[in-house]
Amino acid sequence: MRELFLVMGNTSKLFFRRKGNIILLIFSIIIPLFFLLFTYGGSEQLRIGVIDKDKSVISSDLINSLEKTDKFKVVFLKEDEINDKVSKGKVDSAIVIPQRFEEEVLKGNPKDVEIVSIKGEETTLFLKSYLDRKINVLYNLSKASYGNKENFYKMYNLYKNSPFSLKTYIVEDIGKTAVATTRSLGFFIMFLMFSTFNISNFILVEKRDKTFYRIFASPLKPRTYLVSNFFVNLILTVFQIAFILAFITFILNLGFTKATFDIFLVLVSFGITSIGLSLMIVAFSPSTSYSNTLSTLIITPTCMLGGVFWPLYLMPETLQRVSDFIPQKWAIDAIEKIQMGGSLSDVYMNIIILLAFALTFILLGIYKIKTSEKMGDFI
Amino acid sequence: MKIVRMEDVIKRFGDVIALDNVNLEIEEGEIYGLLGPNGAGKTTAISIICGLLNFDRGEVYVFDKNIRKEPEFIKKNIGIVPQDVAIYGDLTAYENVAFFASLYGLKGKELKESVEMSLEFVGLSDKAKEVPNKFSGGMKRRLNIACAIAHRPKLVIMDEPTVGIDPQSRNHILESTKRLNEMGSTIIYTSHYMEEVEAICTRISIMDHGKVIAEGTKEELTSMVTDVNTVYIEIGSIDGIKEEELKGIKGVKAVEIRDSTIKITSLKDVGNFDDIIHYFISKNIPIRNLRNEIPDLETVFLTLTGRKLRD
Ligand SMILES: Nc1ncnc2c1ncn2[C@@H]1O[C@H](COP(=O)(O)OP(=O)(O)OP(=O)(O)O)[C@@H](O)[C@H]1O
Ligand SMILES: [Mg+2]
Repeated sequence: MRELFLVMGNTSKLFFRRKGNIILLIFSIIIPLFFLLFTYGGSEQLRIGVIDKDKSVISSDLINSLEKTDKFKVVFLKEDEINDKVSKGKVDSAIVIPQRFEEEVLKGNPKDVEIVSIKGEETTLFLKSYLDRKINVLYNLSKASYGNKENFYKMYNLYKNSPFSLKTYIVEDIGKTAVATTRSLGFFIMFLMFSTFNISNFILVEKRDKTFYRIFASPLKPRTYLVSNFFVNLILTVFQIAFILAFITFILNLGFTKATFDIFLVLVSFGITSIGLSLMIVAFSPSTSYSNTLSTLIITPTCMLGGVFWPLYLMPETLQRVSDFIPQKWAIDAIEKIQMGGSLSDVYMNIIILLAFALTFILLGIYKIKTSEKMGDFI
Repeated sequence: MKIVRMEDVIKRFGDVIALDNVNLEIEEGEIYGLLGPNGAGKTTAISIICGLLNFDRGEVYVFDKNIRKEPEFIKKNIGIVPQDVAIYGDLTAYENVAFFASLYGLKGKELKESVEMSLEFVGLSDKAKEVPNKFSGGMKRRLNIACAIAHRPKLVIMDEPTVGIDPQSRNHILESTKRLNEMGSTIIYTSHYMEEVEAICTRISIMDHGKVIAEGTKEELTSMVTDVNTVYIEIGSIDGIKEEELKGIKGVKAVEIRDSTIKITSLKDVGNFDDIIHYFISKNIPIRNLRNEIPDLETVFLTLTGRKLRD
């Protein structure tokens, strides 16, 4: 026990003496938070660029109704500006109301309003679900009026002025903050993987610097050394997770309703998986340059496949199936479930799967270390 | 008590045979030298003695205990100075020594005193609070030694502790090694500098290609390769010197006269030095210079292997 604390103390000391380690630790918290603040934090409104090619009553009403929701801010664009403004982020999304929109509505087959967006499917979905509802109403009115323009407008005006119609049927809170928090926790997950690897990699750094040789010339057991590295890693991981969640919840006030603790559990489970993976990478690497390359080659692509940077449903179906074998997917999935109001009982499977990954990685790592110990090249 | 006993030890790394039937016996209180060129197997032998490396065949006993059965006891009583400096560049000199010493169970006041003593011993007391990243090569080497001795091991193993440092630091290290020995530690000292080994070791093994090719005190080793003694005598003029007369002196095997220098080779066991000097004095020939050639370990190595110790 004494030895365990001794080596843990030494490992932490080594960690905090190196500026690079502290910078990585701070970055892993700051960058996701910045992402959260800058991407969605500024104004709560989505800026929607609009091109109205129809210029009919219903098209301009549709545009007005967007503004009335106070979820959107409408910016009128010229047609040739659209791609430029969207790609430069001047607007979050743009919609194009096609010519003969009114006519088609009256005919009972409203054309889809085209939506241009690069911010990711979430913004688009948000807007689209709103527009769909609106257009659906128009469609129903047109059916009810049997395509008769006069009747249609009679009913339409009634509908518009009724107290109910002002209610906007917005899917309230699967809204922006939830999406943004999930994405920024995604970034955090990636950083967490790099920082757990960084600490596991201390083992190879000690091998490289030969202090490893000296440590094992002492009566210390290899097991104690490895366990102490694991614990230091776990403590720092838990600290990072607690810190970022506290920041999001208490400082930014972007609460996860009552589910902060559930998210904490999910992230800690993922943290353990990540430590297991790091230890496995280190066990299979003969040198620090090898492990550095290997970790980058593993972490970055799996984050892509695991839905860390973008939602999984944007990927082809085969890749989505591959993601079942990627721990990040289960973490993100659990976070999304909790964001949508789920509780621990909805995500306990995810946690079990994450811990199973962790166990597998750790066992493989131990197996590798045991065999190289037998071959005598562990030192 | 034999501190170390290696019996017919074989160690392979794949196809490389690093130790080939090595036998070593090291007595308590010795400074035992392991001399050999690069790749001879010195570090491998040491790592096995420290319990850091498995071996394929043979038996190894340290402090009369089998290394396979009681590695912990053995490890506890060994201090190793690794060939490559093994210290934390970011921890202070004090923290380095303290961490390694505490792995051997030292704590509290005892730890503090031992650490201070070790730093004092290698002359780094005034650098205790500085980090080795800012040290010179020689200072790092000295700290490397301090980390090995704070727990006062019975056996200190030094694997090429003087590689790549200036002569002053080297002398300091050689002196420290002798002092450490005087304070009661048995020492194994590896090197490929024969001068060092000659200067401090009580007994020496010469290794090459994983084999111990010769073993003994320095005198025993040198006498192995030669049974003759050579004296060079430089005189003003060789007039009046008769080769036959010189050859007539007892023990003299050969006489060679070149310019003003006479090379006289005699049998080693015959003490004829006085007689030779007397010959010149009796002839009234002043001796300008006199040089006695004793074969060194370099010669021994050269003779045994046909190669130089270092290229
Ligand atoms: N871990 C290893 N894997 C493979 N081969 C090794 C390993 N360690 C040593 N060897 C080989 O074993 C032989 C003996 O090496 P060793 O390090 O014991 O030599 P040495 O006498 O200490 O040499 P040096 O003076 O260069 O330190 C060499 O041929 C070396 O290449
Ligand atoms: Mg060596």
